[in-house]
Amino acid sequence: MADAFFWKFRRMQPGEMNIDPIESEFFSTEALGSLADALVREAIQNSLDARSLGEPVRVRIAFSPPGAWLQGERAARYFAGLWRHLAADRSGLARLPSPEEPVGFLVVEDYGTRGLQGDPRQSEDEEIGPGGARNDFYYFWRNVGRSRKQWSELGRWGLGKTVFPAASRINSFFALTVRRDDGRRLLMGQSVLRIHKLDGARYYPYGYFGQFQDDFALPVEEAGVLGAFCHDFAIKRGDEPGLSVVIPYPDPDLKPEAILPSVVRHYFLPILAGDLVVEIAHDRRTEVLDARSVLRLAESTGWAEGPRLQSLIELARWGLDLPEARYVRLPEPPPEAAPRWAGDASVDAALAPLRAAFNDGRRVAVRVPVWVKPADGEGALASFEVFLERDDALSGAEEHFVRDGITVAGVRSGLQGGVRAIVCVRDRRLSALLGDSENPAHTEWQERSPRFKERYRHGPFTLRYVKSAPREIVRSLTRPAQGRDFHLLRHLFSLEVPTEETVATKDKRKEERIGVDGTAEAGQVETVAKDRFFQLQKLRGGFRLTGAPGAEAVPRFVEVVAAYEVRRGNPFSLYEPFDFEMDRPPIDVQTRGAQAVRRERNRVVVRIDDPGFQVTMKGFDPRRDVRVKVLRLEEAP
Amino acid sequence: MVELARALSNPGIERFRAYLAELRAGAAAPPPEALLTDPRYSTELSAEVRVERKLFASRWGAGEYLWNRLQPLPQEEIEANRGLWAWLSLYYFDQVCPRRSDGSRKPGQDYRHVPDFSFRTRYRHLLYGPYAVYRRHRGYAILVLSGPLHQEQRIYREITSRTDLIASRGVLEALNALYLDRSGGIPKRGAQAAIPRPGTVLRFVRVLQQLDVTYDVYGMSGDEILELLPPEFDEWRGTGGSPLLGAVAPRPAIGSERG
Repeated sequence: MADAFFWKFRRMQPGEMNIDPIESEFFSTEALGSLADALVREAIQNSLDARSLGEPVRVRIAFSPPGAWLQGERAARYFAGLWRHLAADRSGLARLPSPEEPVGFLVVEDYGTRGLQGDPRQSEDEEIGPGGARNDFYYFWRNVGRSRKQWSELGRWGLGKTVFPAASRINSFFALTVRRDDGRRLLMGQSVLRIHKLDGARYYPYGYFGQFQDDFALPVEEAGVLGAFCHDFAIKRGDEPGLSVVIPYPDPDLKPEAILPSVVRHYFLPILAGDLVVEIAHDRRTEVLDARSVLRLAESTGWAEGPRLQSLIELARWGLDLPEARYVRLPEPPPEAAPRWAGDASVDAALAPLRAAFNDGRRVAVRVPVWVKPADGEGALASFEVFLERDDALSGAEEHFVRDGITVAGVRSGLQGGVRAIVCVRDRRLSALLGDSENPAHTEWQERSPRFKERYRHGPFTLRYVKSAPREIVRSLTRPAQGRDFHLLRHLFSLEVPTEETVATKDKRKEERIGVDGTAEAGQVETVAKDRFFQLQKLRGGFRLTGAPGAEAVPRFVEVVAAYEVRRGNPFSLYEPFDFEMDRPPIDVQTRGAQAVRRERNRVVVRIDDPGFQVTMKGFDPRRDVRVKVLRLEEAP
Repeated sequence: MVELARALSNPGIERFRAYLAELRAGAAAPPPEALLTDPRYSTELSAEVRVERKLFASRWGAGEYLWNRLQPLPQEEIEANRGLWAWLSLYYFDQVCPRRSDGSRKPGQDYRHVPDFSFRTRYRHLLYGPYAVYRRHRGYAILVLSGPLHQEQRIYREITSRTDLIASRGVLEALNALYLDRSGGIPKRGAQAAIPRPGTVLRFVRVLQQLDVTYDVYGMSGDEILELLPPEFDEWRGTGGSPLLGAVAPRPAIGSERG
């Protein structure tokens, strides 16, 4: 084997552009928490995309037990020709393992998929006619950032596979495929380094493991070699179609306890729907995540996020099991207009029957129709589902946007706290639209993405409509009913209804008080303060100061000071001229039997000429209370 | 580089405080970053929180980032573990206390870096404050959390120093409608003037205190508050659009989704 199959990097030509691979950076987004998350998301996404019609996809992630690690000659034969490149100057590998170190490995296998079909000898793009088969082998092994994935598939950037070398401490991986169409079994490997130098020669970053015609890598097909490979790396695949990826020297962050919750977090929906089963083999046992076991596993494993995942799974399962008739369907939007939530009374009306249930803590499911209008084709009516529940245990809101099975982790609608929401997009046309707006890591829907812009009519509006659905639906469900609720606080504040008898025995003198009981004319004013020489009466937008009947010792001058009342603090010291100024409109000062001799800021000095004087000040903001104080002045100001 | 966040232990916090005191005394020593990983001065958190030394464009960006990153932690740990916030302050020290042109650093009071979670100063912590405001209001906090991490904007100080103001979504909606320059996600010019002028932020706070006597202003929506405001605010309303547009750029959040 050592002679026929080995690793090879191409020598670069003089003048050839120097470009180091950067694709791993596409998966270092904030929304993806860890390498385990990236590996789980991308590997399973690729498997779901390669699904054979009618079958659930089964993904097996197996950690090699220490006893099975490869050593010595058994290990060396799979790395012939590789180590010197890994160790080369500027290879990009910071912490290279020693060649003598036993080779631990992680295997990611999928079943129920079609494998990497297509001509392994294809080296450049070919036109594919309608209905023509796509060359998965070519796009998997010989392309980065380029994909022929189609409209509703999860991945479409051609970058997902780059997570495999990123997961290896030597940035390398092997993949064995069994193809559904012709049954061929093909083994190749790839290493992604940087442009590096060996013995004075410059080498291309991408190296291959396989057979070679000059520099062109071809897969190994010899049954004996493949049998030994499967045995050495504990690959379970016999002749069953699919792909088995072997990641040698896996990153130490890739642990079962990281992978397991990551699978649940990112793929709970296809697992519950029966479209996906994930097996995680480690420490001589296998955890099976399927529709029946996923909840039990979330309950029993003691993860920090276990309780949240349990609640999420229960809501998702409830929604998936719900008969269509129990969804509330929102009205169909007009096809010619951009979809909008704002001001759509018909949405409120449709959601009204759910209001009580939601506010009582029961789950609700809403189907939201929306038009998908390609720029160059006929529009089609699609729809998505929103499952909602209140959860007082949540400190904030919890939102999950799931497009065709994969959770798009970075999308948020700004949902209010204490609510859990799942937005489930299963319609292929809508999924295609959203997918076109996704970033390479599939964590965001970006309306300014070049792949998205101009591709749809009202595309950004449609995107925002889907993104804001949980927030807007909850806003409608929690909106107070129109009009006043006269019974809202009656259990807290109650007054006895007077009877004829109690009315008849009321103190007659009280009835004579103006404007209190409604039995006499209220008039324009209400007396709010008295002193020995004046009365202060409240007017709308102002007040009136009048001389008290029979008053003695009426001062010659008084200062009237006003300020808007505040709940805390001294309103007079908090006064600012922008509140009002006594000598400027809209403040109006009228006097009778008195004279306003000085008006500035919030003060008016009044000379009293007649004990029955009257000073009226109006023009204050009727929405704010005015506090007034009247100061006697001993001397003329 | 992504790193696991930790919490400074009491000895770690004391060392950090001592460093802050040195800076205040005019020293130019580099931040004691060894405390971040030294098990004698810092401890693990109850869950894995991964952070990286990214540069935050605004306090809002920091609040959003920390809110996302701290999700694995129980809320009570986030709200009470001052060692966590001290660790984060030290981790992001070049942003919460950047070096000035003369090489010195001005850390200000300790509570800007080591929170005490008291009523008066809890929002003064340069990382916990943005986190807490973001957690409560998300996109609606875009205006209140504008500006660089190490500088409290006047609007932030005015609003967060009053619990009834910072607790009210309607107040933030109204603030955004009045003072947010939607083209840049920053306060309009002159809105934060230190000397009161008609309709500025200081006046907004004062008038709300007055309206609070007669209305339940802190239970109102932004639209309802705006309707109550006197004419001195008219020139600040003039940008059109719904005051409920809670957020705009720098990143798609609430407002931008409304078109």
